[in-house]
Amino acid sequence: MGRIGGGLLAIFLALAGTGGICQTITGKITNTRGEAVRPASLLVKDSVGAVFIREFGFARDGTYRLDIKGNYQKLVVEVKALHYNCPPLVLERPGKGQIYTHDFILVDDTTRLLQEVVVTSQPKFKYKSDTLTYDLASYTDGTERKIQDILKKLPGIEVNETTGEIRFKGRSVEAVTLDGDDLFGHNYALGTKNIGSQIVESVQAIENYSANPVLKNIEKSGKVALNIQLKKLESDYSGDINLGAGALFNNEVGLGRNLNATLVGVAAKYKSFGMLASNNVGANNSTFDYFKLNQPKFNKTLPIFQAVRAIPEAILASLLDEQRGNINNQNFFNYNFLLKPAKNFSTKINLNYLHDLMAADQRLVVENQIFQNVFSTSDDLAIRKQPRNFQLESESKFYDPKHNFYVEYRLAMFNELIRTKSDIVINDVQSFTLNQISSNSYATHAIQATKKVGQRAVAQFDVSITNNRINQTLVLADQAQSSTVTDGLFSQQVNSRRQKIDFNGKYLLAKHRNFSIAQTIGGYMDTAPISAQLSSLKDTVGQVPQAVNNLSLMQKSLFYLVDFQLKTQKIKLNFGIKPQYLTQQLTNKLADRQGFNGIDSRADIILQPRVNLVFKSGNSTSLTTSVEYSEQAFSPEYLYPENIFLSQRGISRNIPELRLQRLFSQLVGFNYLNLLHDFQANASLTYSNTMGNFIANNFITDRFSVSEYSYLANATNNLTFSTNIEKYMSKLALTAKVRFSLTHFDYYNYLNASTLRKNEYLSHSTNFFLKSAFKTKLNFETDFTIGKTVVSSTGGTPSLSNTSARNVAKIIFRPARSLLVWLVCDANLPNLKKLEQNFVFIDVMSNYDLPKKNWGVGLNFKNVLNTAQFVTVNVTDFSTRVFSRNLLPFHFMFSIRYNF
Amino acid sequence: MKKLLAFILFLGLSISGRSQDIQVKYQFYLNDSLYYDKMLYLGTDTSVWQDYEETKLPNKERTFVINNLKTNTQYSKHIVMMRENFISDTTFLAHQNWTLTPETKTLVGQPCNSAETVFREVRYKVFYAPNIPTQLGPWKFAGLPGLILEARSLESVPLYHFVATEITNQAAGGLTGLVNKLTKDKKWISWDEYKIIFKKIIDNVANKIKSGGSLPVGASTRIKLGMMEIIYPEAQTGEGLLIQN
Repeated sequence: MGRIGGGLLAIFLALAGTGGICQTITGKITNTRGEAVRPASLLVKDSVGAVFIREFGFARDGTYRLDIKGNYQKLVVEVKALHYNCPPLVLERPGKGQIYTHDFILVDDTTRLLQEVVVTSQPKFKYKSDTLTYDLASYTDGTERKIQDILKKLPGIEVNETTGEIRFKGRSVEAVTLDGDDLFGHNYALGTKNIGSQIVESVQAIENYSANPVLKNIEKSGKVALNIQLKKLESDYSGDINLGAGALFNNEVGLGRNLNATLVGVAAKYKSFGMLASNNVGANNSTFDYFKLNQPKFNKTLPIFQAVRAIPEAILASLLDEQRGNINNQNFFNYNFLLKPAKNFSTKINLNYLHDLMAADQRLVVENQIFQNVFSTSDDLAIRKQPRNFQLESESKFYDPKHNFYVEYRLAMFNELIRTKSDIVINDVQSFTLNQISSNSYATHAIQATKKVGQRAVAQFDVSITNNRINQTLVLADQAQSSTVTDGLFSQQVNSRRQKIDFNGKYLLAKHRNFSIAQTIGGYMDTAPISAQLSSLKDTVGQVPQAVNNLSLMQKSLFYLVDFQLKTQKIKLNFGIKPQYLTQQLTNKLADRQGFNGIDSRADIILQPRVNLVFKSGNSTSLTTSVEYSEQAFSPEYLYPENIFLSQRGISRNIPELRLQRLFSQLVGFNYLNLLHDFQANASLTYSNTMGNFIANNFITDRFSVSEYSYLANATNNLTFSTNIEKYMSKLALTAKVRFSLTHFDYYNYLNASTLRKNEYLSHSTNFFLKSAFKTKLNFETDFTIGKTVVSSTGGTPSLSNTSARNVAKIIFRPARSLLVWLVCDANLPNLKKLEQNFVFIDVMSNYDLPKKNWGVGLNFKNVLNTAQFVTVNVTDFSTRVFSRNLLPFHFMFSIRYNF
Repeated sequence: MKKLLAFILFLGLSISGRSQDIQVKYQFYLNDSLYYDKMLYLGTDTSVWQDYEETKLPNKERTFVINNLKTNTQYSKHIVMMRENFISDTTFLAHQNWTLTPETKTLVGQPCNSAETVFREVRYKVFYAPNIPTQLGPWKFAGLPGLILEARSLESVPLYHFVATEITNQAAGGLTGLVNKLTKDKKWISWDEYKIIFKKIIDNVANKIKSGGSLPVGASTRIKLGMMEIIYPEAQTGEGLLIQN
């Protein structure tokens, strides 16, 4: 019971220096047993029962002191303590400057406070299972123009501004979808860099992403995706234009260009993106790569079963990057369109078209050391290569959420034509023209259906049909087109085809969130016919067939795969086994002519186990190990028995064999990352043992190089080791990296009628990298690599080796935040035994962002020293190959860019 | 004997009836999207704020704040760029000057009054329950005459918001073990020392990105840290800390 303990004692004092304090109240707070009560708070109000609290104070150890600052007609002091009640102290018209003493005695509250559990209403949005939704209203401040600008501001998301790669919680993002629609596939940077931010409602980060909605929450894919939720019923067009013009200083001054324009359109029912690009300064703005001869890539991962490309395309790449060595004239067009006429149905089309004219002047000098016979050959080639490719991808999806059923159909195709004309001088004497035409048409149809058949179980069935046809013609003609009989003229035609029907039925059961089992029954039928005809042009009257191939390989397979996955915080264990039944049938349609049996066939039962274990120790160390055994059939390229000309020199044929290749591989990897000390180190060791290889029986002369491939059961070994150590030294503001890699393998061959030779290849490379992060306007970077290759043989030829070195140094000068100038010095020594043969390249680049944020300009000077050519040196088990080629000359480029 | 047992039982009940700990579950939002659930364990002089046990966070990513009124010390675990820091701060009460505001609302059945403060450069509005008299928690908040059941940042990016969803009683005494577990064998640094370390870590990361080789010449990127208190304004406000190569 609250009472004024001992009566209200008012002491009138002149309170000089109390600084705005009107009254002071002190006293004790105890319970009826005289015990101090704590914690207790004191609330000051201006009337009994008022809600608004004017001032407050606390009681510590059962005593309190309240300094009242406000002027109150009525002063009410309430005491709050858990499980106690007490009437308030009420002071009518308290005197200014007065000190009051009042003890509160609290009585037990018999009703237990907070006894019940009360739950508020559920929130509108949740961090639901694997999806985190960002509400962008709080982030945008009006300065963001593109989706990428927003993503950069979201916690947990990092954007690489140069490549456009996005990472969420340190993991690379698999896809960026628009309202759940994957318009761009792997090329999502095209969209995030170009789509305007004003149409974005929110961003979702999805962990364990699966494009298949039925597999969601069942398949722990470990993949991450971002979904951009768009505002409703809005349409938007945005894009950018980048115009670059300059001059190339070759023998005569030529016009240089680098033009690029993109346009994005987004509305409720469709999304589209288009791009046009054109340049002749070595840039590759396309999704194709004819400089390094990579296969055309699709946005989605699709099975690519290539027909045999028997005749290799002309090689243009050197060790230098493409912007130095790619003498091109490229035009590229890209268009992506996604239509969603109904909520659960979408269809999309991706189109790519490329046309390029690539040029290279090359010289290859080969110093052969074949036993006691030492001789050199040379080839001078002026290559003009014109690739053209039209690529189409289409995808349609239907999802029935009521029945948990999902089906998708994909079509991917391309039509490629490469025309290559080379003027050739062989051994500095004989002049020829080599014409090569390769046409390649590819199409795959794939359909996949998925149905949820239980709480945590999914059944999936997919079937795909792939067709690929490659037709190649290679003609070596007399350059002068004279009727003079010249030895070695030929016309080679190769037509190859591959058709594959693939089917899989999969049952995935996630028994527990840490443990899952996947079982797949599948199979395929693969047919690969090849026909080839080699004609000699020696007789100018009529072409005489010299070698003909006409055969077909059919492979059929049935398999069962069971895969167990156990995942805990420390261990990820994956164990799988794949029993497989494989049949092969080789039909040689020219059996009579070649004296072979017409049909050769073989059946095998294969058991392929694999174990993969990842062990994490603490936050910084992980150890990975895997062991795998597999058996595989050889590709059809080792099956044609008669000669095929591969180039002006190279001739190839095989002794067909259907035996399998057995492969046993092991991997051990170690990774250590210490963020506290900015140190990381990793190392990996891979060993593989292969039983059964097609080995070459080479016969080399100064004019031809003939290789006959035959099966050898002997085992070969391959060992690779790589390590990387990286340290950021904060006191010096420097990052230092050391990388080392080593490759050792052995292989067998025959050379010019020798006995069987065993060869060993050893190559190692060491790289040192140092880069500064000074706060000054000047910074530097240096990247030094030294590498050595040694090839030795048991067959009597001496070991051959080469050591090369390269250093790329950069000086980076940033006098102002919007202005950057940097200088690159790229120094190369292809052969350390010939130091006089060195190549230095200097580039000077600059970039300036105009005060208007969506404008920028750049001025670049490349290959300032006008270094005309570059040399690389390689060694084989019997030769040293010195390859030189011309480069893009000194050129400058002024560019202006605008975003809208 | 029976009388003795009855007395002991009475004493025990009395003690448990008087001194009870409180557990409060909060939903913690980032830009109005639920991020993780948090728990506040409240004793007489001590509070512990930590991640809800059932969240998916691994132990290494869990943080805590312990407020101790007896020693006027706040113990907290901060993670900056995956580095753990343990801070012992005796200045936390001095930073919280509350302005009482007239808005009221009821949360988890408790009538609440409102107040505002600027805590380390971030303005917060809170609703507190005077019927739960404590100066402590949640998070680093302290100094109001009732438990804060809802808090919302008003100007920081991202916006932080947490709101209580469950309040339960439990017998006193459990907090000591929890506090001992969280504070055992930790190397504590002061708030001023932490501020220096924090800036150094961010600068180090920026320099590491700049010198790491993955950022090509001419490219730039930014580090922006969303946190409930401003320690390094350049990296936490505006567009963030600019890294240019």
